[in-house]
Amino acid sequence: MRRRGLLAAVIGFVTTVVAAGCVPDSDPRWQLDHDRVVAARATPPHLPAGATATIDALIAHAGAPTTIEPPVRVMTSPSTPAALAMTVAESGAGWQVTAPGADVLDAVRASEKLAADQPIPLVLIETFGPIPLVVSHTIFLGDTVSNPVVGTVLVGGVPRAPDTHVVIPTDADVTLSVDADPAAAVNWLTSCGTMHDDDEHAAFVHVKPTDDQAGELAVVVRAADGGVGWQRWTIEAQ
Amino acid sequence: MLRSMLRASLILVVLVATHVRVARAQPSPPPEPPPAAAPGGPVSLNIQGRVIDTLGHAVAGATISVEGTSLVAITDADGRYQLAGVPLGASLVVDAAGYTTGLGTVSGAAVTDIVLLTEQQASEVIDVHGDLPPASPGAAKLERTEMTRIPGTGGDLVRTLSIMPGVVAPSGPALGRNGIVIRGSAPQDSKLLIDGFEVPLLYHTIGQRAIVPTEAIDKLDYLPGGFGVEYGYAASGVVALTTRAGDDRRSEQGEVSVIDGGLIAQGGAGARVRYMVAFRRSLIDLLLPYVLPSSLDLSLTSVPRYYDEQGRVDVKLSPAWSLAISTIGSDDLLELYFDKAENPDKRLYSRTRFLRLTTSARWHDGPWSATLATSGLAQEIDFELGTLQRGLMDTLAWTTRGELTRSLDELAGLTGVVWRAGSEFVLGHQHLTLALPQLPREGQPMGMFDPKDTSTRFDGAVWTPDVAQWTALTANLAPGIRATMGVRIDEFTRGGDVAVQPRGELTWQLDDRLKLRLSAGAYRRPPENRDEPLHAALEPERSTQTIAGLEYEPVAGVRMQTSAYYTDRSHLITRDGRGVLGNDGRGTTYGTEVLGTLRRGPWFVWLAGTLSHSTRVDFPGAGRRLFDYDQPININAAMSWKRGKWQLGGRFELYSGMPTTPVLGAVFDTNANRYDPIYGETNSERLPLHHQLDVRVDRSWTWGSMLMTGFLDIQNVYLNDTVTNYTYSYDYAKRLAFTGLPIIPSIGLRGVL
Repeated sequence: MRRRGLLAAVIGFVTTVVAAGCVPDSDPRWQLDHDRVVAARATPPHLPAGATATIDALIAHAGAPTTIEPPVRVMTSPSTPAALAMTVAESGAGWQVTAPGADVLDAVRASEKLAADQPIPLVLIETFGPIPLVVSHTIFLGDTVSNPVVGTVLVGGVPRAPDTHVVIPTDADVTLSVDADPAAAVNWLTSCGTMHDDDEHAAFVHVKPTDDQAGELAVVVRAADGGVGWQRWTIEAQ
Repeated sequence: MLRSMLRASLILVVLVATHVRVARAQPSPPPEPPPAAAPGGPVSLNIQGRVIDTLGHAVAGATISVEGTSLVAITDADGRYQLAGVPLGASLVVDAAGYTTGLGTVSGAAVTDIVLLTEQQASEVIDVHGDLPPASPGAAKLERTEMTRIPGTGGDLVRTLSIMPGVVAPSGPALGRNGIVIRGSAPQDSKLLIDGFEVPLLYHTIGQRAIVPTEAIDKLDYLPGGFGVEYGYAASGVVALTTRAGDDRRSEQGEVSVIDGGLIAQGGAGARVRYMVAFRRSLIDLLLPYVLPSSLDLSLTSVPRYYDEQGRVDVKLSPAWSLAISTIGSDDLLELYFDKAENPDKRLYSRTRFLRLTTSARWHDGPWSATLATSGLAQEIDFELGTLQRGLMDTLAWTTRGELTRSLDELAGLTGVVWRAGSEFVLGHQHLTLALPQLPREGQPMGMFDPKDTSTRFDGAVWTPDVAQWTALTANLAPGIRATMGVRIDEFTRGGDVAVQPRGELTWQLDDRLKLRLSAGAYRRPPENRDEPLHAALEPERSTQTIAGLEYEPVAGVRMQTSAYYTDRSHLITRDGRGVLGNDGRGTTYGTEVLGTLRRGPWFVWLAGTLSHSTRVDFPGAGRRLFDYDQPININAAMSWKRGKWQLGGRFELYSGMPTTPVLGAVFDTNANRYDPIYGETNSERLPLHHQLDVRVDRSWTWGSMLMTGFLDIQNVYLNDTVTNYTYSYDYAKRLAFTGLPIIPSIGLRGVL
């Protein structure tokens, strides 16, 4: 029998998974104390014909609080159909995406072999500064969808309004939860302590006495249809 | 963190690993009366005693020497000896052909019987050879007793293979590789056979422990290329294990270590039947939970657990007919959660088990001989990650093979003629349930792991009926020149491919000490690796091998062989830019291998060196790149010295690091919350050069009636921190190096009753 190949592939796959588990020692993905784009957002994420969307992003900074910034540059990816190449433009209000008319969208659907009511994905290459941070961002043209609303967030079992100051105990597991669609992807991030189960709707954060005792807490909710929402707090351990 | 855990546990295991093996033979030697009381003070004695085997039979012609003196005696037909003027407390060293060295202590005038073990009883390793003489240029021969003398191999099959010329040394974590890389080929290009039929794995999923204990192995054939027409479905080399038929005499033995424990029993039932059964189970899964730090955010359900079993019955039906029935199986299980709460989304489950049952009948009558064998395989591979990703493969396969051989002293002016013809039918049924990410091909980096990626989906069955015929003629063309010409025809029925593969070999005895060997042939590997069975239009991969070799034995005990090879590969299965598999790849491998051995007196020296270069072109017009397993330099040098109760040895290995593809940067995909790497040129970088020194000391002594052997085996004595792989942070901003284990001391103890 000559089918050890799939076995080898599976074993190799397991190796990769285990290897992936080995990396977080150096650079955990929940760490806000880095220069990186946490999430980019188009408002709205799905545009009907003729509608316009604006773009911004939640950006983390090393040694500084997060910011919400517009992009310094946006362009369509090289694989974009020519009919959609002019959908992105910069104006006084910043970079915007404007969906073309219904006839253009129908033509693109036909050329891309999409169903008549199917949204058309448009891949944008967005740059945020001043340190150039490049993001690939897919929005959709031809239907209407809004970004998700981030529901009630409980920190230590207590509801917390966004953009407020939260005090948590030192050297204790502090539970975090968010009221979001179960199908949505959730990511918790912090620059204070260690985050556990950071990709679960319910997570917990632990601040040791040796950690920085103040920082930020954020949660990002990504809907399956491409919409995104976030909330953030300043946090202090006592 | 997991890396630290794995390292810590492995180091712990090897540090505390103490192998204890006890063998018992039936019937036991009769009990002896206690030795005569020794006189006080430093005195010399006239002693007498007896040397026997484990059945109590006398060993005649054994040499007894008194350590530290020139006193020597030879046993008579009854195994008895006498020596005069032997210091009280002196050690006796007993050597006899076919037996391992025996030891005794002078505690009185009457010395307790010294029991010798046969080499087969005592050996914990296997005989490794390619044939005598080697079956193809480049094959190697290593005697069973010499295996115990090479440090760093531990007598295990997997590590033994790594010192062979042409074998690419493993790089990367022990977890994650199965199969063997020979002469710049992929693991799936070489066959792993046990008792003539392929097995899905050679060693257990974790730990690089062979699925067959050494005690159950009779021999291992290593054919790096140029193999004969009787082997098919491989484009590179063959590793063929033969299980042990069992001794005429009944014996049982057990072995236990921190890694695993097992039993083996063998013997005869009447004059015509011999049997061997063996069973082994891992123990590390029982111990690991107690040694892991509680701070680890990890839950171990079974890490790892394995069983393996072997059985064989040989029956001599008549002077012309013999029958062998053998079975081999293994079961590997790994299950863990990447958090203590045992969240199903963070579960990793992997189970691989198989059972093969083989029946082989041999017939021999004068110049005619024949073999008819049939074998069945049941195999399951089950892999689950989280709640979304799964790969389940159930396989049932049945193979029937027959071969007829006719020998002729002379035919049409040719002498020493041997004609062979054979046929094989394989019927395989495979049911696949797949929900996995797209599996990368050779040359493609794995990329960042996405637990939600199930882009490769399939649920269905695949039938693979394959038929093969072959014939070959071997004859002396002239004095000193012997040639083999043959052809193998494979019909891979599922794809409708018929492959005609001519193969030949020429041996020219240039003088008494020098032999030239030439070999050439065509080889095929059917498209049955990874997800290839899902694509019926794929054709077999092809290779054409050309090998030339020289063998030189300048003096007795010294042997040198060298070979040069060139392999052209075509129809390699690659994935194009759209993700579609096709036979668009090409490749070449060339290299040279040198093997020198010295066996003289107490010395044993092994020097193997390989220079090779292996490249691929993925599709017409693409650039030539290095093969994933290209290893230009591979050198293994081992030396040991054995005297009386002591044996000292050392091994040095040096090999090139594997090619690797650099990551130049990454783009954040905000929808998927994932960084997509930007890769540089494929395999344009290489891991650092690896070098390592291992040393080993063995010491034997007697303890009551038990012969004890202890050893200290230290791998990587000068702490070379070898980089075995690179991995990246989630955003590819940092590259981290996986390094090999630092110093690995291992203490072993074996007792034989």
